[in-house]
Amino acid sequence: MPSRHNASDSNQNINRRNVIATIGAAGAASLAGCGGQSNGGDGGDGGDGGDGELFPLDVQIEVNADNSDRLQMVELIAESMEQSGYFNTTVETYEWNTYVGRVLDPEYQNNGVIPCIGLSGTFNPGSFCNALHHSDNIGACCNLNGINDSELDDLIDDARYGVDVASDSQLRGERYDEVWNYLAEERYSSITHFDLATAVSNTDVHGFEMWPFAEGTYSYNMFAPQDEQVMWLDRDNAAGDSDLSDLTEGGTMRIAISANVESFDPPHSSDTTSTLAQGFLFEALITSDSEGNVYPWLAESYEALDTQDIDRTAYADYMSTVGTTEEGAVDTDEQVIIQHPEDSPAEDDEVRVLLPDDATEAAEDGTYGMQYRYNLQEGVEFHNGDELTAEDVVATYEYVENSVLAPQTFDSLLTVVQIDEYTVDLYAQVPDAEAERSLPGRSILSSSQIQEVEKGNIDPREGNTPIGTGPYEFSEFEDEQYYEVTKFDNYWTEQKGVSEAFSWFDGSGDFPDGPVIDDFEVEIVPDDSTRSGALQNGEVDSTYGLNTATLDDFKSSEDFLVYGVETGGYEYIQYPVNVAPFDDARLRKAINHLIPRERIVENVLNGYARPAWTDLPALAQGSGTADADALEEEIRPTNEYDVERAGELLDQVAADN
Amino acid sequence: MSLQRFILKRTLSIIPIMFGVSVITFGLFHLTPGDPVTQLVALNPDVTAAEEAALRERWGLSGPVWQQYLDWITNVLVGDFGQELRTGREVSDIVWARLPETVALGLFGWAFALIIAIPAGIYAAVNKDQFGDTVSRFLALSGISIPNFWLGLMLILIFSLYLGLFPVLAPSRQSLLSPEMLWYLILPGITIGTASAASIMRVMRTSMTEELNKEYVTAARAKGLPERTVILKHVLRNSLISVVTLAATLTASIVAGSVVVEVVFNWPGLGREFIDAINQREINVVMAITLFTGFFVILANLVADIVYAALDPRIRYD
Amino acid sequence: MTDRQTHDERGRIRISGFDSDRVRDREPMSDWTDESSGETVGRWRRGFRKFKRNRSAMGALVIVVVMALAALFARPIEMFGVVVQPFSLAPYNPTTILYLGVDPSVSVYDPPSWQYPMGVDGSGRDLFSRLLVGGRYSLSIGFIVVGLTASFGLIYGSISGYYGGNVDELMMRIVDTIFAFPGLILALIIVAILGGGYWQLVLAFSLFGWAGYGRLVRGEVLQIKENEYVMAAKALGARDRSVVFRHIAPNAMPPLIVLASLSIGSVVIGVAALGFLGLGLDPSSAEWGTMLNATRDTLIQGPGGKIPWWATVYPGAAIFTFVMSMNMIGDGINDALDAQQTGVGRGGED
Repeated sequence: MPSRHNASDSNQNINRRNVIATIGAAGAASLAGCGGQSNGGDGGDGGDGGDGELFPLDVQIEVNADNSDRLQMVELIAESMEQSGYFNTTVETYEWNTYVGRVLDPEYQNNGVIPCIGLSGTFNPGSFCNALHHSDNIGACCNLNGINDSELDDLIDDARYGVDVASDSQLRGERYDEVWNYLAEERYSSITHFDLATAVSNTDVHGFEMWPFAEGTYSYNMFAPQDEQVMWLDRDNAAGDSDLSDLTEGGTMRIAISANVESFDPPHSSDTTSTLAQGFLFEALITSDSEGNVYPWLAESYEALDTQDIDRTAYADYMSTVGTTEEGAVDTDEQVIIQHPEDSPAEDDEVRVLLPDDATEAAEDGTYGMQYRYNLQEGVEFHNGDELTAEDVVATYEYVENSVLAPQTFDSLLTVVQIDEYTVDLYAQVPDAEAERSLPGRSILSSSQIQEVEKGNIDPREGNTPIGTGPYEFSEFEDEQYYEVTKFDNYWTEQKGVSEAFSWFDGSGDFPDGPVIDDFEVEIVPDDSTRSGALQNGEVDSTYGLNTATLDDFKSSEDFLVYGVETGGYEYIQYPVNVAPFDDARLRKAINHLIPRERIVENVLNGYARPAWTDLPALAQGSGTADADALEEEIRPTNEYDVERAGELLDQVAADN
Repeated sequence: MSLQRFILKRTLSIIPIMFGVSVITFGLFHLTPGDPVTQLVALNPDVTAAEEAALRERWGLSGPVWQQYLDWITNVLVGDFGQELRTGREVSDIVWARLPETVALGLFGWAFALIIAIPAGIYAAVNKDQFGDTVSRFLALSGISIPNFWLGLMLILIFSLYLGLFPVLAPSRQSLLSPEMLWYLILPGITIGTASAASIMRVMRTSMTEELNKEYVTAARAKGLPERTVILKHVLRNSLISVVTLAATLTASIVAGSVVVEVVFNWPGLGREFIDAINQREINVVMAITLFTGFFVILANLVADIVYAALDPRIRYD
Repeated sequence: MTDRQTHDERGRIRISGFDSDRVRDREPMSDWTDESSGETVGRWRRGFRKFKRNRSAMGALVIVVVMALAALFARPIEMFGVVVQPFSLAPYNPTTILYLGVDPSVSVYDPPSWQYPMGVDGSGRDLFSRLLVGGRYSLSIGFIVVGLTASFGLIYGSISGYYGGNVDELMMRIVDTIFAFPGLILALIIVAILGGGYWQLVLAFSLFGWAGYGRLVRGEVLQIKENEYVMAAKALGARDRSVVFRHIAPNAMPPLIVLASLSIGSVVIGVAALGFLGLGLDPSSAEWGTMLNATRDTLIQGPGGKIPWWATVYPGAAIFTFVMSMNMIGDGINDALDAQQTGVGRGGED
């Protein structure tokens, strides 16, 4: 499940990996709908006019129009800058797809405007610095304004890759602290707040707890022994003080989700609601608790066998040479595992790449960064009656090749090798502190189904019933309306018993051996207020992502319970650092001081968020800092709303001009 | 010319208009920069250059414009509107799936309009220039002037939220034919039908007034026929003909209204699909619905003209 | 009410319309065309007097003028750095977020109070100020679009009607084709292609909006051109262009003006509808329909929550008041000029 977390709502946040690969080549600026936006396009250039007066500086902030909270936030920032007297701000809005195409264009950085966008981070601290600032992500997601600081790149890389950080989590935290401090000094971007994920259930739903990623909320709640978490339905007694001893089994839970299921095929979809649906049906080798600690799941146990100090050039001997296309893409139908770091598809006619077979060969010859060994649980049954074996794991990872999830899988994974019927090895390309979480994250599919279907077609719309090992079986799906899943009779943890299945389980004897709810009926209701109404009318038992303005009403009602937890979702604005006068860090810091983070959280998000006093959310503090409190104490003053300090900085900038 | 020949001639006359409608629909979407494939590629990382070219070929986006038009219209004529870009679903399936909801709403709106407007029109004409006439004329003018989305919001605010009489939510899994459906239809139906009701009422009033001044009415009254008989038997029939002339225009306005009203009420019909498709740049869906709308309005016009010709003895066909 | 007498014939022609032959079937001229030869000026004067006596139309005119002035004087207007309009009726700038700087005690969706008579919107801005300034968008777009479309329609219809034959046939087929699409649908598509924005909206409603005028004028022209004085002018060898523009076009004006005054309302509703659908102007702009869109999801609150009705009621009421007034004026002009009923029956949507 980890590393699935950058799945996201299409209207909210960008799924980073999904868009990386081709956006640079496509340019993407020619999307229909761009035409009307040119009126303010050069607004940011007005500031560097030659009349000697830098201020008031014309600044344009851009945002997608279809997220009203984000838009309100941008208006608030713009108004705050305007009131300082140093800026004339304009807000320009775009339709979402147009906006994505616009900001991911590598030329965007020359516009001199400030974009605002949202991202979904994970337990990996890198998702809060790498995506925004690493030069690899220029023209991709989401280094929008071309930040190219090799010192920063090295700091970020050194915090994740290398034998030292892979083995020493304290050192890793210290490395990340350096990153956060460096960013506070340069302030290329301003993260405004970290989102709170919220779900609302009626009081028939007992034992509910929020999971930091919306797409995993229901699968986490139905059965998560790692946190001793299980929900059940009891329509006679109200939830609130109930505990495991009150647990009742059975019932049909009705939930409302916010978007259609694009696909039931795990590696061929990454949006929130598809991932949510797959959570009922599929499982991975590992699972994770709400703090990001990894537990073996379909694997009975795993261990890191070996780590070698190599970088990606070490694979040169195993690489094949392939041509490139005019657009600057690698011309091959096979999955590119690694592209030689010294070659560039945009400039060279040929590049060296490591293809899947080469990768396996390299691993078997002993060229790899890390080697992890997974011992599978025996007696795990798929919904079609097959038993889970190492073959299924190997077939699953082959099936991931060239899928939507391929980029995020193969930026770390080298290859998967079967050892015996119940043992597989997963290799990482280089020593990687995230490997334990990211390598085994894929949902395991049935090899017999993979053989039968065309890639991407594990979906009822294609006539294929999705088959996994999960506690629920697919039962019915009406496109854009609803789907239903029913409990799988031979679910393996129930066959084995929870304490038998998981040697790490040390919870209460009352904890059930599997999910206790019989069926889930999942209604697809895109409109937030309609979902809210459906919940109030008793048409569904639970939903999520409601308008924050209405949550307090639910909270004060006796019939509903509101659950919230800080997530990895965050929003940020990024300064056009390559365009004067934004190349001056003092100007960027000054604007940062004009961002009223507390007002944003209070007035725009109705308190359902946390101001980003540092760039690191609670979620990723486990591996992202050596000392979270000390970090906040140090960095928070640079992110406070402070008009006076902003004025001082801006006066300095003006004086130097 | 006989009525039959008129019908034939009139039916043939829609062919060039249908052609024109298809040209406008095609032209609007294909003379703008950025074809669907460019968009798809921008949003999907796994499309290679070769695949992109193949896609263009498959969707008929590679040749000259007239060739593209021909390819497109040939497919459309056999009911193939292509696929939705993101999901690959057949556009014609989407349209057919959503159509019944919109038709139900439109019919309800029509029914509401007629039920309200015809009695109101008669009443106003009979009581011309009296207080009741003034009030109903004022209401009719209001009905034309009120933005339908605001009317919808106000109806929700008052009748669903403050009074709690109607469901706030759109139906999710009810069958269109189930009796509860009526409950869901009332507010959106009223919203979509109000402007039409107002227009019909005004036309009814005018034509009734006019008929009432005609000689045959005076004669009938002189004969001593009761006023009720005069009005219902003679005057009403002739006045209703003028409502038929309005039918096509009002059908067009109900079609346009369904876009807005379905958004207000979250009604799962074609109108909302149209807006969703516009927002997601699903060009094939937008084109299909646009073309569909155009053809539908043309047919409505045709039917109205034929009915009118059949009903009105005064018309000459030459 | 002589104007109503030929009503159903008119209505039929305008609506059915695909058959140009039928235009010639209609009953001969209503009274105003007969007098048009020499008394055009007198007719305008009489019409004006009659309009002044129409109390509801005059009342509506006052409302429209007040709304226009309120929009104009809502906030100062600056052109090329020079303040050309210094007055400021609206107490706050429409973009000012009250809780930031002005009054920290304000929160979003505060109800109407003495200080903020129409309440506060979802971004903490003064609704009253926004409503005043918002009139600028709707009103100006309405008048500009109608000006453009009526002018073009006048030319188009005059040419089509005057030349007749194949030219007329082709030109009217084009009009018929446009009529096959509801105006709002076309506007939606154009805005979807071009993106939102002020001039995009103007274009969206102008590009096809002239068709109604074209057909109306063409019908009038067909009648007028049978008139003796036009025939005489032609017989005397007057050039086509001068006949069209000297004699025919001016006589087609009264119904055109009626249709135009009624269309302003339709355009204003159309602009607001696009705003409401999130496809018009910037989502943060104070345009009335856009304001309604921004507060739409407040209608469904949590259990026991209070609905901020003011955010939904006032902007809609502003649109309604304006459109209603324009329609009353249109009806008034219609009566005053004795032009046949032309367009009000088309309803608000298209």
